[in-house]
Amino acid sequence: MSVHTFTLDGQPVAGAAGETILEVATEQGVSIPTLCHLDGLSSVGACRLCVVEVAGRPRPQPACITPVEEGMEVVTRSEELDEWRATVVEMLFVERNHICSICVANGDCELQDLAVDLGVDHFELPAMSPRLEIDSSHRLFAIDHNRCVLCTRCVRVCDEIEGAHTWDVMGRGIDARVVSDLGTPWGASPTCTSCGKCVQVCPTGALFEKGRAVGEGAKERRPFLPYLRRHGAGTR
Amino acid sequence: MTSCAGDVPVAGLVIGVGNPLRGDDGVGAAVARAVAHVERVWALAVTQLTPELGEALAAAPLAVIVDARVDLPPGSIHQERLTGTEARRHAAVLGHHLAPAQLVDLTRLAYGWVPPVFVVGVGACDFDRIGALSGPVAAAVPDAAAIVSALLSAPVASPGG
Amino acid sequence: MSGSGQDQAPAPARGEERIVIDPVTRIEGHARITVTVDGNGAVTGARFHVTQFRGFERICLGRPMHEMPAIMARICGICPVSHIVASSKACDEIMAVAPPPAAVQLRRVINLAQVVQSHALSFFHLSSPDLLLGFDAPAGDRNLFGVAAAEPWLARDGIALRRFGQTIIETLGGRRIHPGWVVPGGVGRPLEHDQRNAILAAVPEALAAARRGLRWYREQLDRFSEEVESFGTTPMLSMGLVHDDGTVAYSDGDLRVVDGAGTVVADGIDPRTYHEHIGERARPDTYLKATYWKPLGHPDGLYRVGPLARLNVADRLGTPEADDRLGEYRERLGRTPQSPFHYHEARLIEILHGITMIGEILADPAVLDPHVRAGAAVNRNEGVGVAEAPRGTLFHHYRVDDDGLVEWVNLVIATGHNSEAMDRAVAEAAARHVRADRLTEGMLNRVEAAIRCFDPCLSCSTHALGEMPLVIELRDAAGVLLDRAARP
Ligand code: SF4
Ligand code: FES
Repeated sequence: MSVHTFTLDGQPVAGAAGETILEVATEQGVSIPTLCHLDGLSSVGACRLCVVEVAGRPRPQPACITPVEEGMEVVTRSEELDEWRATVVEMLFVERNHICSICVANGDCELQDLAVDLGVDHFELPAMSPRLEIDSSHRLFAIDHNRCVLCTRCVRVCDEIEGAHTWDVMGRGIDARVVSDLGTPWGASPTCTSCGKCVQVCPTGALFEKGRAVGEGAKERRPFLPYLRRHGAGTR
Repeated sequence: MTSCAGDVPVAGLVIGVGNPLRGDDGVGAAVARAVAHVERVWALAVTQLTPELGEALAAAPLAVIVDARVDLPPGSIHQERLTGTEARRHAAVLGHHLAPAQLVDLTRLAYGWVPPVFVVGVGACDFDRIGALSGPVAAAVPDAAAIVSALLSAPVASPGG
Repeated sequence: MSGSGQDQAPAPARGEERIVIDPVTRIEGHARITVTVDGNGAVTGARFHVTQFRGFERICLGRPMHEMPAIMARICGICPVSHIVASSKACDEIMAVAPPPAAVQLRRVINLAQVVQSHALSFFHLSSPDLLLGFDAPAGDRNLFGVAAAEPWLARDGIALRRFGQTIIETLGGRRIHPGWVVPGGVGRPLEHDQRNAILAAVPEALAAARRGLRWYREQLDRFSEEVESFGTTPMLSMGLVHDDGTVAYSDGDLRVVDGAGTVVADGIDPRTYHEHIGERARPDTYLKATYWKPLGHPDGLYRVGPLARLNVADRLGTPEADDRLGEYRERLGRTPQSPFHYHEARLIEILHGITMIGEILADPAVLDPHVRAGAAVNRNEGVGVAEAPRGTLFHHYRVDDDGLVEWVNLVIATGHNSEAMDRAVAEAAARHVRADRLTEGMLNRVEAAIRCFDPCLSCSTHALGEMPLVIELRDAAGVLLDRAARP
């Protein structure tokens, strides 16, 4: 297995070919904020929160899907990056309706944590306040699209781990939604095994267990996916 | 708010006033947090001074109220020893929230005495951020905390205030 | 006064802050009172207007049922607990579950703590200045400072009683303004041994303060015979919850209605059928829906709720000492006192009862049972939850779809039940003090005090002591403004 040496925030580091910048950074103890990425699932680079600067490349690169290369110079922290990440988080907030105080995930929400960590404490962008629906037809679980950040973790865990492929993303841009069985109400899904994995991986309160009251949605982020954590295997 | 932190006599009460959801207004709470670990300090963070705090005040040998001030340059710190005045109680409509001098007055009237009370004001400017202090104000927190600690450990001339 | 935390007791500065983005706008209602006079300057009517609340019934649409208690808690920063209790009970109904016995008791405790805390604020902080210093004392003195200067113990007792209630709410619900602990099916966490002991230890001191306050009030009463008589004494019905054994109920029980003479008009009414018995009238110039007892129609069916009404409907309270005080009260004022002025005494007796009851409930080790929550899916599409809030009977009525999403909400709040009674009180107080086309200071003070007897749940009733942010308008029969006075 060939090894690439490069610099991470000025420090020389080495990573195996096929590893992503995120993986090497994590090994090195350098933390990069992420949202759509989840260890054990494939990476899709959907949220762009993990962006880093790579010398010679015009735009910041998502660390979760960018493989390391020999001689690369990677910067994980800078004012521009902070601003970029903060803007990404702000956009996620204003695009839908995230109302922490009445949310089942309050206190256990990755979006909320990111806002705290990145100092996103007010919005300059206008809130779009769309009226989105809640599908509560499943016996055990519900999905509130108001809180979905389209990270597609649910889509991937269902497909890659459970093997049911109940979830997909339908529509583009502002109209994009995760849907069960191409638009069948979740409760009528012929493929859903009710395993609950999607609920556990959802970073926000979009997917939740019914019957949980506000702030009671604490997810069990147990490491139930270790068998995919091979170098390279998690990366497309 | 029950009794003072159990049976150990407290050296002093620190009341950080302000709403951390309103940017620099949270500086009082930040300073209170910074001194909360100091031995025998009883630190409270409140959004406003309420009559209920009179009980805590009357039970403390010394008190420091930390608050944000808009009339000071951001990050600058002002300290003064408070003496409540009878005149001031008429000054403002008394709602649920009191000015520090009013709290001192009320405490003296209701409980018969007040400990020496100091007010530490920190200049503030940005009230729009939720849960975060602006740069200069955040930088002033350690200094303000040091001033509070010094006030708590220095012997004070006479009770009253 | 909603989310900004005025009511929050001090919390130790530790733990982390979290961003909470709460779009629910603050309820800042200024009350407006219109008094109308005829050509001779005689008062022909009065109206108390409020702008608040309605938005909540719409905010909830489409939300999952389990969010309802948390949303409802935000109606009001003053009595969030009663809203949470009523809301959770409506959800219990929808799930068709009975919360475990310990949860029922703990909900009672937290609601009683809310009653004690809220009554203490109403009496000691807001009303005792008038009683102590007189209605004609300068507004600048009629506040807690004036009380602390004249009768320091009275201010201390008020503070201590508020702290007693607030500490219980924090112990059970967590250090938050809007406790999320009462949940559909029960409560979120069982009570711990130490918590129970700490609350029990505070009971004797609180009882002593409650006794002193009541004794003192009774000594003052003689000085206020004019106000007692002029604050809206028209006999009316009283409505409240009672247990099967006739004792006053706060978190459960059935509705009972008695008339001005103490005759029982209706009894054992399942509160879930409230809409069959209570008529609601939307009125064009206020957001308060006025209610009336349907079988008697409007206006004969006008009724009061809250402390005065609860003591009127109940046979007894159910704790010996408070029942002795209730006996004395009835001996003096009759079986069903009608002057809203007596809300004050009723409130003090309820404080005494509430503290005693909290002690009694917690003395039973059964409250420590770890089984405090029942779970279920949607088993019914409709649920009504009722509770006695400090200010009176509170109904939460929800309809949900089969998946538990809210389709329709109706709230009937205490201040709505009382709104016409308040109109009457204002009209009577005004009739005594209006001079032709002019508003007098004496009238302003007394109108303010008459309204305050009801302790209406408005930000204006608690924001300011001594002065209520209030606009009073005097209009002739044609609606022409004759005089106007504003209290900032
Ligand atoms: S429902 Fe949750 S896991 Fe699925 S895409 Fe939306 S935020 Fe991600
Ligand atoms: S974590 Fe890399 S793009 Fe989302």
